[in-house]
Amino acid sequence: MEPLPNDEDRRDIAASLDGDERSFARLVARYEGTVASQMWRFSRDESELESLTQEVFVEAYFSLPGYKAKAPFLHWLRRIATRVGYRFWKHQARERDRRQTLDTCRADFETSTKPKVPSEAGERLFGMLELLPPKDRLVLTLLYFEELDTREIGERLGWSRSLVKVRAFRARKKLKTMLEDEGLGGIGYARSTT
Amino acid sequence: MHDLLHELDQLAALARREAAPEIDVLGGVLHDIRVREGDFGSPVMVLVIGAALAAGVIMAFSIPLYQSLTDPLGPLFQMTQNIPL
Repeated sequence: MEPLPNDEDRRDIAASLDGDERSFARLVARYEGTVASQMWRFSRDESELESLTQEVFVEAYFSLPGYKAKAPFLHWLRRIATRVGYRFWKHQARERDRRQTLDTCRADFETSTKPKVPSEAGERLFGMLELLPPKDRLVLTLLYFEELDTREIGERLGWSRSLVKVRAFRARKKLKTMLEDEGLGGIGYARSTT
Repeated sequence: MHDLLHELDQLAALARREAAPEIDVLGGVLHDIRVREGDFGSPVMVLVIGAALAAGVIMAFSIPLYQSLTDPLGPLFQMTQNIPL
């Protein structure tokens, strides 16, 4: 069973519900770094990152009466963040030119070797996952970037564990096929070890 | 075949160590909340509510008027019903 929200959060949530702005400001200050880290997996544009993070807290504020305090506040916040990020991707997917994404990904592979620092790796992985449809991309983002297991992903998305397993398996296979079809069969790790 | 997925796992392990840029959204969040909470008291909302009320009043008067226009002899027949034969 998940632990309940801590006393500090509980006090600030209760006061926020009574309309105390300073209490909600404390909750924002406490969690904005964590939420921003999560939203960085949804967009690598700093201005988008800011507006997505902002949207998470605004949505949290207006959903606060529905928070049941059966799990830590951060878990609840993370679920909202996932919803906001997914909505952003769906909106973006309607406007995005798939071919352009693939070309950008190809350029990344051709110009760079094995990523050496986390930001390069993050950029590369983000670009690869961007090739997938939003639902597949979401499962692999939670799996790869947040290192959640299938049970945790299921809880976050409201899916069954078996659905997460099937979706993750298919998404990985799809990604691999796409990369191989485009002749992007390696990331650099295998080459560097031989 | 297996290698690519294994490489992806390695890439992800490194990517997870990346820190997001530092941002400060507190001001924006509080501003958005105030704007949305103040929606009902904003001049635009007052105008919208006023217009809706006015439309309701006009509808209440115009429906009987419209009915009498589509059936101009209706009131005459109603009057004749009261004449004792």
